[in-house]
Amino acid sequence: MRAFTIAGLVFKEIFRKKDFYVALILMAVILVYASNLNFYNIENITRYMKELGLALIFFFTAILSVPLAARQFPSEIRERTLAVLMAKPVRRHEFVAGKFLGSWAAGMSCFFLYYACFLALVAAKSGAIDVATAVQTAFLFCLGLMVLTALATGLSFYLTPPANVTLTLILYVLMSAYGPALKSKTAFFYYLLPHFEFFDMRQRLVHDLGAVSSPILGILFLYALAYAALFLGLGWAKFKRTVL
Amino acid sequence: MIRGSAAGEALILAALAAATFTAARAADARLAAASPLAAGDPLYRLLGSSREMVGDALFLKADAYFHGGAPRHFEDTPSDAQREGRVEEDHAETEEEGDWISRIRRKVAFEGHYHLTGNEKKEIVPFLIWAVELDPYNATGILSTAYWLDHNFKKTDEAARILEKGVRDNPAAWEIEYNLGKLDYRKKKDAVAARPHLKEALRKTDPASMDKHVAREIYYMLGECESELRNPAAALAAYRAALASFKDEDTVPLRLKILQKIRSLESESPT
Repeated sequence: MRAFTIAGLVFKEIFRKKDFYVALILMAVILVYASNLNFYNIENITRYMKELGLALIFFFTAILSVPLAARQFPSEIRERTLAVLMAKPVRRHEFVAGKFLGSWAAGMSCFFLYYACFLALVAAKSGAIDVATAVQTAFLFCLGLMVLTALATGLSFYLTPPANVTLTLILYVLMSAYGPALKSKTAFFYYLLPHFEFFDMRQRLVHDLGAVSSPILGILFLYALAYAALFLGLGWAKFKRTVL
Repeated sequence: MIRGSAAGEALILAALAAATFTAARAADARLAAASPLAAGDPLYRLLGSSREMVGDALFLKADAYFHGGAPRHFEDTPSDAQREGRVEEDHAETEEEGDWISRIRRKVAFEGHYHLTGNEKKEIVPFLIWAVELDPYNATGILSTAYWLDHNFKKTDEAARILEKGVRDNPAAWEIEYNLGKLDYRKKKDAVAARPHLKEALRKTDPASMDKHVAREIYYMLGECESELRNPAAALAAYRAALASFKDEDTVPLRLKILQKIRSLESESPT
């Protein structure tokens, strides 16, 4: 319960800042503009727009969520509010969980707002969306975001915010784009690091290739949960040894 | 610190917005006018020398789109390579037997054999157009874009414009001259426009080094153009060159047709 109170404070932070609104306006303008491009008067070309829209949504959500999670613990230290907070009946694992849940929920709320705008635009342009695939795309992205914010939250107890944001985003991009190729280069990291490409269903949504089976979604949920628990556990392990 | 970070992010976003808008406006203006890119074009200046790399990436993207977004094609899977004899059986590690990570990834990302069909084919057009706009030296991209516009969307004039620009940007590429001549002759039925391109295609390369079917087609079309423009001597020479690419025992209809045309021209001017 106390974790949720902390999460609520974190959640509000993202909407107090201008970044969210800038990203929303920017994305809307780019998408509206892209949807009006004319290719030799060939009608109803939509996939490029879907691809661009989803890429922007994924990019902006990650860019907003990671710094939010990364700066939580360091800012409490810097502003000397951590000792005050921990003097209240808040356990350290509740603090870690609250910071993570707030960051994740804030990221998801950004995502769903962007995603709703995107789906409305796609529906207006092409007139048809595979609802099951759209729902699964959102679900898997949220799982990926859970791992990503857990990673940033966990690392925030070890690294400064800039280092944390840099490392987290590098790992995110690396594993999303080159995760499969890591096996031949370094099997250790291939098996150790979370495979963010698991949570990317954009190809299926863009190309109307249909939904993924439910057991796979279940496996991916457990996979994401395990990695989130691991990263938060590492953060908590460091935090519980920290002298306030 | 937090304010500084927010300002930094806002600045990055603003810069990204400006860049995207500049690129989009430049691309849109050119798409509407279908005019060649100028050195002072904003998109050129924005991307600098990396534009060719981006263009090539977009061409690969168009190819991936044709295969349902899968960057690796069915033809390139180890099992297929093995079937085609490109990989020895013992060394062919099949993806189907990969580890659990590979198996999950394949369930999420579609990697089957898939080609765009019917009305879906239009989806690759933006990437093809952007690819040739950004990398005007990609002859394969130019030929593919023109082919798609002409064959699938009946945009013959637009395809011709892309090929004409391709000829200007790639003066040594005989394939573009050949395709432009072919388009002028077969689709536009314009022998006057087709003839110089066909001649240029032959001048820019050694016909002996060409695929014999292509060389034959160029000579045949040239013969037809010359015939239509009432140059019997030139037509006869072209038909004879086309005939030389066949074996004597070939009985394909085109050979018989060429033989008939040669006989007809010879009978009209026995010298």
